[in-house]
Amino acid sequence: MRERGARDYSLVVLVEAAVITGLWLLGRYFG
Amino acid sequence: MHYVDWAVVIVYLAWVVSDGIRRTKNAREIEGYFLANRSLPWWAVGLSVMATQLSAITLVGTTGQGYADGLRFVQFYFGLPLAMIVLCLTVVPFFHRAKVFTAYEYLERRFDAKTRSFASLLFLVSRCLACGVVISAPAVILSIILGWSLTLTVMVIGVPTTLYTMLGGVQAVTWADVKQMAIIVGGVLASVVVLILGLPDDVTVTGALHAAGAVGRMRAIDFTFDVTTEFTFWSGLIGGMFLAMGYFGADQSQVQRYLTAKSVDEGRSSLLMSAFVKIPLQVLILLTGVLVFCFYLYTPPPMLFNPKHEQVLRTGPAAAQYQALQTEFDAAFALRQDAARAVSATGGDDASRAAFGNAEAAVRSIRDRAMRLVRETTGDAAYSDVNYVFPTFITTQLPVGLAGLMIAAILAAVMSTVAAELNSLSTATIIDFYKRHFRKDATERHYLRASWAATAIWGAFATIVASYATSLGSLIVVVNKVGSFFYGSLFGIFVLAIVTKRVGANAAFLALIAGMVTVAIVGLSTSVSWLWQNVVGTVVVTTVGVALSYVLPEKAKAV
Repeated sequence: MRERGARDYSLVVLVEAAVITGLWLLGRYFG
Repeated sequence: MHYVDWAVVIVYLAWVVSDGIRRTKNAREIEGYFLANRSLPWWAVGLSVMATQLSAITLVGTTGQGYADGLRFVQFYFGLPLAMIVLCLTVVPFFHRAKVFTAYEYLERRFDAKTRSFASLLFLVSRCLACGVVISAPAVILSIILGWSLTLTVMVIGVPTTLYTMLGGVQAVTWADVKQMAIIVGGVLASVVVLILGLPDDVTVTGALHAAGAVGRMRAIDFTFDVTTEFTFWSGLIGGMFLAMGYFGADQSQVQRYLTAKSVDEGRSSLLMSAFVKIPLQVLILLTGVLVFCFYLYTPPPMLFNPKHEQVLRTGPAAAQYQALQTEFDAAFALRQDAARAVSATGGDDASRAAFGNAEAAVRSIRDRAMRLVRETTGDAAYSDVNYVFPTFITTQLPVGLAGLMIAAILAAVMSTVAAELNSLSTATIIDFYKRHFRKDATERHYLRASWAATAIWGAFATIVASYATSLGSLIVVVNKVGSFFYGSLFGIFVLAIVTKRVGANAAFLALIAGMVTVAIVGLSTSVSWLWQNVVGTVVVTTVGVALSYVLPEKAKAV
């Protein structure tokens, strides 16, 4: 297995930021 | 429920127990029994980590929260992915390389026996309290919804779980968790499909969500910085991060999951699975609750979702009052239904949204009056029926077969959490106390039998506590708060152990006590929300520990 490192952790932060932005936009659109 | 649904539930229970017992042959010595000889693949461990965290009250309570309050609760999980990164960089490699059975064993190597025993004792106390509630809260709901006695429901959950955990050890727990996660996610996705198909032909999903959005159900993010508000972006991100670090880094019921992984990187991958999947999964569960709200905009809902209390009011001295409320409720529902259709048809223009908001407020006010009537009649001041929304939907609206699958999913959610807790309670009892203080040099066979006995005793204890616990709504909050009372300080001790070199045993032990006392003072004398207590605990323990290391200099022990 490839060693887990900075690339994986950066991806976690990017995905979380994208999900939070998506949720915020969802609230703006429907709310 | 239809007999096909009962058959689905019975097949599920038989499958989980028989598979668990089949794994007994892989647990002939304690490293196999408690840690699966550190041989499990990352994806199985990752699913086990998620199944352990997702209890039935998460499944039932979160959908209810989505129904009543919308998506806001998701903010509670915002700190989790960041916590997972911190843990991948710190405790995962440290625990793996130290070859420990319990997280607290590491504390003895770094500090001393008293710090290890104290931390392990804190874990045993908080987890055994939680374990009883994890069983009893959904058992009360299921017993009312299914018409079973409470004792029978607790037994249906507690006995099979104890049996497969006791005989199969951690391997049975992990592989059962994998199946249970598949049932939970499959069941929730199938419910979402049924909910969407259950909308009237002239209402689109987007139109229904516009109606939900008009009454705030789609607003997930609140950027207000207010430490007294329970769920905001900041409390979720910062308080939630410290809570998750404490829960996944210092609670044996989670640490033991990733100690079973084949290597440090497989352990890291199992935690990163939660980092990626946890928030979307919670959004899915909350959205299911929002869709149940949308569904009941067009299909008449019961005025009260708890059938037991509804029956009490319908047949008791307040029957006439209740009937009058029911008539009012039916009329208000019809008005709200028309208003919701108008929102959907116009795509959510301001006028239709305002009219729908008023119609929803009218329905809510009648429901509030009905709930007040329940509180006055039953004397239960904390009465709320939010946790009954989803189970009521399951048993009254889902098609035959799927209702059984969802009841099995709720049972799976309880059992996966309880199994991991029993397994870790047994591990801490045997490794941190029995083997450490009472029988240091017994045979593997002896320890294995003692582990079976410990699991059986903890299982019996949790089942008995669950049978006698009654006021459960408030207990859930109590358990979460009790968890927050311990987790921040416990995690602080691990920070001192891993990050610092100069802090010795006595400084660490005193810092742990200082952290818990401070959290108790903050919790009892201020209105700071409980999520922030995790931050307070960690910060106080690390600061006091480092400060005391200058007063009580000790030579650091090599781990």
